Amino acid sequence: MIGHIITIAWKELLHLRKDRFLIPVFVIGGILELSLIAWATGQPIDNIPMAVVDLDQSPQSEALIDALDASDTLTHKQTVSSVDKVYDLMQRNDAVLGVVIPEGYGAAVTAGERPSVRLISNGAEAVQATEAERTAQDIIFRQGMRDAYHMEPADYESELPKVTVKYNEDLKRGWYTLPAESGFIFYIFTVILASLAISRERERGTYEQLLVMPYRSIEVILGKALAPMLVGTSLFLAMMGLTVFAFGVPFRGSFILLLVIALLYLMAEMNKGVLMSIGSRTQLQAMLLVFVLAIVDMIFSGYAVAVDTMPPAIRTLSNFVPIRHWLIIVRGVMLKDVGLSVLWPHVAAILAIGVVYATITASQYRRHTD
Amino acid sequence: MMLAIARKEFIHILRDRGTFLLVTIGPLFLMVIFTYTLTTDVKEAPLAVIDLAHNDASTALIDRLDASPKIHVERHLASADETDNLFKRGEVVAAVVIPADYGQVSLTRVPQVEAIIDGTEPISAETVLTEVYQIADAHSRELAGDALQSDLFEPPIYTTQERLYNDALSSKVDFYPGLMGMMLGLPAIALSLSLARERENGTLEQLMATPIAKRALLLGKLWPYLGFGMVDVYALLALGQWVYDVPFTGNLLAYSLIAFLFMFASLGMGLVVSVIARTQQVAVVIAILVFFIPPFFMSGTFFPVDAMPQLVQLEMMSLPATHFVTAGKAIYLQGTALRELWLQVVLLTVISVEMLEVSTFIFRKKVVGGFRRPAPPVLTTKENALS
Amino acid sequence: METMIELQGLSRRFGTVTALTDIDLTIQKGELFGIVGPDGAGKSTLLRLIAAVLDPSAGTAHIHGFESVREAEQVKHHIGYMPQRFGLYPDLTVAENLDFAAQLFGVKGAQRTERLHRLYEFTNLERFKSRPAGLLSGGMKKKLGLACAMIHHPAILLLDEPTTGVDPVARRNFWDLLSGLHAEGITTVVSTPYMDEAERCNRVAFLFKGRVLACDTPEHIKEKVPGKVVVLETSDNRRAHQLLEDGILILDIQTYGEQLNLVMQSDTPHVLDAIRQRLDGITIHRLEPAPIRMEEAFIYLVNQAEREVLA
Repeated sequence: MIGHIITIAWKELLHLRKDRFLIPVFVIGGILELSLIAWATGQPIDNIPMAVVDLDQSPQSEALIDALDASDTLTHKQTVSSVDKVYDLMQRNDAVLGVVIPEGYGAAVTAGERPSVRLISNGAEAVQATEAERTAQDIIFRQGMRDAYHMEPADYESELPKVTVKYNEDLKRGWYTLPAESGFIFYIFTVILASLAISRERERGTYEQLLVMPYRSIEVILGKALAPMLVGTSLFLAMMGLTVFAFGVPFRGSFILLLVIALLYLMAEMNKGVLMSIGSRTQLQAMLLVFVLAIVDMIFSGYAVAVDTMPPAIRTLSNFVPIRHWLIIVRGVMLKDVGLSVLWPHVAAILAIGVVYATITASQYRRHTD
Repeated sequence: MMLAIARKEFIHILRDRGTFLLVTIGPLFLMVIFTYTLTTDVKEAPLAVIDLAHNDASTALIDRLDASPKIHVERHLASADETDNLFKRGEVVAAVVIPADYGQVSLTRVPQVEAIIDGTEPISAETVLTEVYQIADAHSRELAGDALQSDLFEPPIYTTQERLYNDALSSKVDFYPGLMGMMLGLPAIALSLSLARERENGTLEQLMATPIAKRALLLGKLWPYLGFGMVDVYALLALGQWVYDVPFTGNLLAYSLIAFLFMFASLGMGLVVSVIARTQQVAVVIAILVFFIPPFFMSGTFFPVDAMPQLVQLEMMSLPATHFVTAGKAIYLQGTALRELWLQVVLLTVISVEMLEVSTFIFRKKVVGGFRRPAPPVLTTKENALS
Repeated sequence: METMIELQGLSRRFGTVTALTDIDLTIQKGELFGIVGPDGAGKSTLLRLIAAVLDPSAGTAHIHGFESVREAEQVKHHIGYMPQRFGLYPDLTVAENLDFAAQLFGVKGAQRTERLHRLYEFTNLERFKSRPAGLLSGGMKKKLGLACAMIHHPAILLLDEPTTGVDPVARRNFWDLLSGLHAEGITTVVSTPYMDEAERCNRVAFLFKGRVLACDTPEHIKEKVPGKVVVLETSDNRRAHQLLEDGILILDIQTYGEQLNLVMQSDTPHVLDAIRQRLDGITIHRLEPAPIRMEEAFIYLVNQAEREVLA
C-alpha cells in the first residue's frame, strides 16, 4: 500500500517538474503578493489632503491650522477664501477634509466662549474621511484646551477615558492581513495542484488507464494528495518565515502547535481540491472552479474584513469554510499565544470538514471506477 | 471581415454557458457577494463590562454603550481578570472597566473608565475604540456638568460636521464605484480565454490560413465583449441605485464614456494576455493576476492611492482600473464634470490604443512551434512501475 | 502547363528536431497531388509551409507565384486550407460555419447564394444545415471543412489528412468528391497515410523522416520496385523469414500480418519451386504471384533508404 502511494506521489512530482509554468508563477506571484500587501497594509492612512478657510486670520486660527498640519494624518494642501471653493475642491477630489474657522474665532476661544469650527468631509472617501474627522476633532480639542485654559495634555489626561490596546498595540493592519494572506497563498496553491491532479489525467486520456490499474482508490487519492501536501507544507514554512522575519509580525505562541494544525488544515483543503478535480472534465474547468471557490473562501473567511461585521447568515455559513477556522487559529497562535484548550473547537471543525470532503471524494472516485 | 469575427464571437458567448455567465451574471453576482461582506462598518461588536461602581451613573453609561448600534454589552464581569480569556476565545473585542467612584465628580477629580481593546482585528478595533471613547467622554462631561452646575467641562471649541456625498460615511458607498472596476474585469478574463481556446481547439490554424487582417481579427473579437461589458455597466449602476442605495449623482453620458474607454483598455490588455498565453490555463492565471487582484488592492478601492509611494503610483498609472476608479467614482458619487477628468480620459484612450497596437504587433499568423508537446509521463503497470 | 506550387530546398526545424529536409517539389495546375507517408513523416509541416501559416527554416516556397514568407497574405487569397484537426467551430451550426467562411473571404450577394447552394449539393450537407458542427459525424465534419475551404473558389486546395478517423464508406465518398474536383481542374494537394488513397492521385510524393523518397505518378512509383511480388503464407513465418533473408533472388521481405510479401526479381514457376525447396520442413499454405501495390512500393523505398543510411 505504501509502495503504491509513493509510486503515484512520485509520478505527480514528475508532472510538477515538467510543468515549467505553474510553480514559478505561484512561488514568485505568492511572494510578490505577500510583499505588496505587507507594504500596502503597512501604510498608515496619512497625508489626507485638507483645505482650510480661515475667516479669522488671528494668531489663534493660525496656531490651529499649524497644529492640524503638524499631524501625520492631515496635510494642509490649500487655503481657500470661501466654503464654495471647498466644495469645488471636494468635487475634484483635491480635498478630503475642509476646515472652516469662523470670524471672531481667536477672540472667542481666548475668552472661553466656545466658538464653533465647521468640518466638511468628503464621503466619497469614507475611510479617509472617518480618520480625518477623528484626528481633526482631537487636535481642535487639544488646541482649545491650550488657547482657552492654557492647559497641556498632561494637565487633563487623567480626566479623559483611558484606552489600552492589546495584542496589536499600534493597530497595525499588516498584523491582521499578513498571516491571513500567507495562509491564503499556501492554501490556494495546494488546492490548485490537487485539483489539477485528476483532471490532468482525464484531459490526457490517462485517467482510464489509472482506473484499470490494480490500485485501490484510497491509494490513488492519497498518492495524488501527497505531492501537493509536500509542496504546500514547504510553502507554509516559507510564507511564515517571510511574515515573521521579513515583515515583523510577532509570533507569540507555539510554532509546533501551529505546524501540526497547518498539516491538518492542508489535508482538509487538499481533499477539497481532489474532489473538484474529480468533478471537472478539464484542467481549465478545475482551475476556474478553484478560482470561484477561492473568492467565496476569501469572503467567508474574514480574510480581508472581520467576520463579525458581516450579516448573521453569512457568519453562520462561514463556519463551514475551513479557512475561516484556520485564520482564527493562525491569528490566535501568532498574536495572542492561544493554546489548544481554546482552539480545539476550530481544530475539530477543520477535522470534521476534512473527513466530510474525504468521504465524498472516495465515494465519487469509486463511482467513477465501478 | 471584422464584423464576421464579431458575429461569430457573439454566438460563442451566447452558446458557451461558462462564458455567458462570466460576462452577464458574473459581475452582478460577485458584486452582491462583495457588497454584502466587504464592509468595514462595525455592527454590534461584543463588549464586556466590569462595573465596580454599581450606581446610577454607571448604569446610565452601560445603557448608553449598549444603545450604540456599533457595540453591544455581551458580558457583565465581576473583575478584569477574566477579560484575557474572553479575548483569547474571541468572545468579546473590548472590555470597559468602570471604577468604583464613577460619577463622584469633584472639581479636582473626574473619575474615568478604562477600556481594553483587542487589537487583533485592527480596523474594527479602531471603530470600537473610538465609539467607546466618545460615549464615555461625553457621558463623563455630562456628569461633571450636572454635578458642578457648570459648563466648564464642555469642550473648549465646538465642531459642526458636514458630510458630502455619503452622509453616514458608509464604506459601501465608498467601495461600490471602485468594486465596479473589479467586476468589469470579468469580460476581459473571458476575452483572454477566447483566443487561447481557438489556439487549443485548432480553429486558429484555420483562421490563419485566411487573408483576414490581424487587426480585424483582434478587434472583431473585442467588440462583443465590449457590448456585454457595457450592459454590465448599466446593470451594476441599476443595482447600486435601487438595491444598495448608492445614488448615482453624475452625468450618465459622461460615465458611459469613461466606462466605455475603460472596458476598451482592459479588453485590449485581455487581447495581449490572449496572444501571449498559449493555453487557456495559462491565460486564466495571467488574467486573474492582471484583472482581478490589482484592482482589488491597488486601484484605491481598499487602500488609498495617496498613501502609496511614488514608484507604485507611477506603475499603477498603466492599469486602466486605476483611472476608471478615479474618474468613475468622481462622476458616480460626486457628480464631477467630465472636463475635470480630461486626464483620465486621455490616459484611458492612450492605454486602449497602445494595447491594441501591442497585441496586433505581437500576434503572428503562424503556428510557430507546431502543437507538439512533450509526451506526459505515463504510469505503466504495477510491475513496471515498482521494478 | 502552369506551375501552381514550387518548393525549393525547403527545410523546417523545431528546436533540435528537423521536421523537413531539403524538399524540392513542383506541382502543376489541375493536379491531384498526394503527399504520402507515415505519422511523423512531416506531412502536416509541409502543408502548413505551403499554406503560409508556418515559415520555413531554409529554402523558399512559391504558391500561385507568391513567396510564402514575404507575401503570405496574398498566398492566402488563393488557397483553401483544411488542417488535420477539425478547424471549425463546434458550437456554430453548419450554416453558420459556412456563412462565417463566406464573410471571411468577402463572398457575398448572389455569388454567395449560388456557391452555398452548389456546396450544399456537392457535399450533401443541406439537411444538416442547422446542426451544430460539433455534433456531426467524422466524415461530415471533413466534408464541412472541405466546403468551408472551397467557399472562395481557391485555385489551390490543401487538405491535411482529410480521411483520417473517417469510416471506410465516408472515405470512399470523400475521395469521389476529390476526383470530381480533379475533373473540374482544381489543383489539390492532399496528404494521407493510406496507400490505397495514394493510388487515386495523379502524382504522389513519398515522404519519410522529412525527406521525399520519390515523387512520380503511382504507376511509375510502382515500377521503381525491381521485380515482382509473391505472397507467402506458412506455418512458421519467422523461420521462413530467416531462411529466405539472404536469398539472392529475394530483394525485400515485408510482413503483413499472417502473410509475407516477397519482392523478387522474377516470379516464374521455376523460381517459386526454388523457394519451396528452401522452406523445407515448413508447411506452406499459400505461395503465389500478386500485383505490386503502392504499399509494397513504399515499404521497398523505405527499406532501401534505411539500407543506404546504414551503408
